[in-house]
Amino acid sequence: MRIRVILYSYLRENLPADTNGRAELDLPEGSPAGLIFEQLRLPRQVAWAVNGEAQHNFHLILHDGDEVRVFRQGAGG
Amino acid sequence: MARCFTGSILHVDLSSAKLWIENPPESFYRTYAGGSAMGMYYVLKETPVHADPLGPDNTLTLFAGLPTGLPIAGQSRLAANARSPLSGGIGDSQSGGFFPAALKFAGFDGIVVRGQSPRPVYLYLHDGQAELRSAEHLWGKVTGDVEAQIKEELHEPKVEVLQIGPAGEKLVRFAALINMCNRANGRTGMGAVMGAKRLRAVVVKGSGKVAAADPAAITRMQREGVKNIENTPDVKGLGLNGTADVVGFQNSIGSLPTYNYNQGQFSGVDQLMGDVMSSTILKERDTCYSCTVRCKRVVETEFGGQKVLPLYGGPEYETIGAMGSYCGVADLNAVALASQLCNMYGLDTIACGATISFAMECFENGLLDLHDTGGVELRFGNPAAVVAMIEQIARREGLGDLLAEGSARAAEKLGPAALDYLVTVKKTELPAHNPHAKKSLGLIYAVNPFGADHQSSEHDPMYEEGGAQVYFDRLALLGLNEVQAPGTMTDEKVRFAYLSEVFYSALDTYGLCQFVWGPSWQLYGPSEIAALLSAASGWQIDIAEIMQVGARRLNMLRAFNAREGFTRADDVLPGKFSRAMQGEGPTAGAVYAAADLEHYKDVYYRLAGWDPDSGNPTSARLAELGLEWITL
Repeated sequence: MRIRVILYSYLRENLPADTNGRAELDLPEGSPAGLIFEQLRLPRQVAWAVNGEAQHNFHLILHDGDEVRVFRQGAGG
Repeated sequence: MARCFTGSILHVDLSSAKLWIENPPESFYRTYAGGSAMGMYYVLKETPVHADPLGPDNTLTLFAGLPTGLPIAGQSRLAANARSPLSGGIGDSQSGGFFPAALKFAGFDGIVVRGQSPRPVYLYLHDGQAELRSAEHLWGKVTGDVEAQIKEELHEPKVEVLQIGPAGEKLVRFAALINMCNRANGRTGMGAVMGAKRLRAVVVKGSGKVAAADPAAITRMQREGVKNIENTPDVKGLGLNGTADVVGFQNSIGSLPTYNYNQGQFSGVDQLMGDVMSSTILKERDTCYSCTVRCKRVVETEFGGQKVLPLYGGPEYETIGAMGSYCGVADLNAVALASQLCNMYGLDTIACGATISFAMECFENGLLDLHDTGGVELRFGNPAAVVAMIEQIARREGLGDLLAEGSARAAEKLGPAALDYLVTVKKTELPAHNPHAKKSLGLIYAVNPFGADHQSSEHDPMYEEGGAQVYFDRLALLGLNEVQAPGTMTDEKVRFAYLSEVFYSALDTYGLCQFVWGPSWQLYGPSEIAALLSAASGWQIDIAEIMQVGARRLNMLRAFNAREGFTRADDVLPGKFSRAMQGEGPTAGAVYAAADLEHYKDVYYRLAGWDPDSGNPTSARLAELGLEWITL
C-alpha cells in the first residue's frame, strides 16, 4: 500500500532537501504507523496526524492512501 | 542594591509635566522582582478604585525584568500594566525587542506614568536623564514614520522607540504599544491608555551596562544555550519557522479556531503553515536583544496592490490564527498585510482579528449588512474584507468605530442575538488555541485576571503522554509527576494549570521570554532559571522563591480585579462553548460544559488559597505573600 508522508519544521531534515518534506512510502498491507517512524528515523516525541486527525497510538494500522503528517510540538504565541 | 537593577524608577506626572526618580531599597526589588509585579505595586497603590481607564487617574507602568540587559537569550522583556479599557479589570501585556534592554542601559528599571498631558508629548530617557518633548508634529502618523522622524530629530539613529500608533490616539480599546515597529505589548488595550494620556512615545538611549553578580556564569549559560538549540527540537523549530511552526500541530488536534471558533480545523491550513512562510515570503529571521533563538519573522510581499515591508516584521502564530483561520482566510499574503497594518496603526492583532471575525459572523447571520459595512462583503474567507476592516477600526470610521470598542461592547449595541457570536472572557477576545482541545488552558482562559490569555500557563500537550521526557522531568520540579492521557481534563490537570500559571507569572515578573525560559519544552528549564537569577542578582534564588514571586503577582492582579468588583461569576467561558463545535477533526461535536468549568474552578480556587465563593484572594493569603497593604 502507498502512504503519503509530510514532515514539518526541523523534521524535514529527515528527508532529502529537494523533497520539501514529502515522501510516498510503499508499505506492506496492515503496517502500523510506527513503521513510518522507523523507516524515516523520526523521533517519537512529536505530534502526528493521520488524515488530519491527531494520533498517539504507534500501533495504529494504516490503510492504502492514508496521509501521515508529522509536526513538532510546542505552544505557539 | 542587587546587581542587574539600575536602582532607579522614573515617575512621570503628565498633568503637571513633573518628572522625578525614586531609588527603592533592595528589599523592594527582591519582593517585587521587576516586570509585571513591580508595575502592579504602583498600579495598586496609585490608581483609585473605578478610575476611568482612559482618564488621568489611571496609572500606566512599564517595567523591565531582573536579568533584562544581560548578554543571554530571552531576557529583554517589558511588562505594561494599567486598568484595561477593554475589561475594566487589570490590563497586562508583555513584549520583547531591544527596547527593554535599552531602558536599563538608559539607567531605569521602569517607568510609572500618571496624569494626562494637555498636548501630545513623548518621553526621552538618556543616560539617567529624562525629559518630555512635544509630539504634536508626530500625532496622526503611522509608527514607521514616527520612529524615523524621532531618530532624525534627535540625531540618534540607535535610540529605541516604544510608541502608540494612530489607533492608540483614537482610543481604540485594543490598541497596542509597539517597539521596533514590529514588537507589540498587544493585549488588553495598553495603547489606548497611553493614547488617552497623550503620550505618543517613550524613547530610550543609553550607554550604561547591566552587570551580573557572576558574569562568567551568564556567559557559560549563554554558550550552553547556543549548543543546546540543536538538541532542543521545539526551540529549533521555533527558530526555523517562528511561532507559526505550530500551525499544523494546532490544526491536527482541532485547536485552530476557525470561522469565529465554530470549528477547530481549517481547510485552508496548508496555505498558512510556518514552513510555507519560510519558503515563500520570509526575507530574514530577526531577534530580540542577545537572543540566539531568532524566532522573529521579517517578510516581504504584497496583497491587493499594497506592499508588505520588512520594517513591520512578519506574522506570529497568533496573527495567523486571528487574521487567518478565525476569519476563514487562507491567504498568507493577506495575513502578512494585516500584521503590517496592525503594527503601523498600533493594534493588537489578536483582538483585532477576533473582533473582525465576530463581525463576519454577525454579517453572515444578517445582524450587519452592506450599508453597515460601507459596502464591504464582510464574509468569512474574504481577505480584502479583513484588510478593509482594520483600516476602518484604526481610523474609527464607519463600522470600525463600533468595532474599535471591542467585540463585547459591539455585541451589546447589536442586540441579544449578537451575544451568541461573542468569543470573549472579561470582554477580552480569545487567542488562537481552542480550549476544547486544551482543556486546562480553557480553565486559565476563564480565571486569568486580564482575560483569556495563551501565555499564562503551560499548554496541555506538555503534560500528556506522548510528550518528550524532558518536559516531564522539568515539570516534576514543580511537583507535577502524574502525566495525563491526551485530551483529558482532570483535577490533576487543574493542578498543572495552576502551578504552571504561577510559574509563568514569575516569568512575567522577572522578565523572561516564555519561549526561551519555561517549565517544559523551552531552551532552559526551572533549574536553569534559578541559576540565572542567582548569578544575575547575587541573591540565592531557588524554585520555591520563584513560585512565591509568581504567586505574589497573580494575587496582585486578582486583588485589583476584586477591588473593581470582579468575582468568580466573571470567570466564565463564552456561551458559544456550551454548543457543539462544528466541522471536522478531533474537536468536532465537542462542548466545554459550563458545569464542568465550575468544578475546575472550585479545585483551582482551593489550590490558589482564594475564597471559593467570590473567587478572590483572602486577607490571609495576601498577608502570606506580604501583600497585607492591599485593601479589598
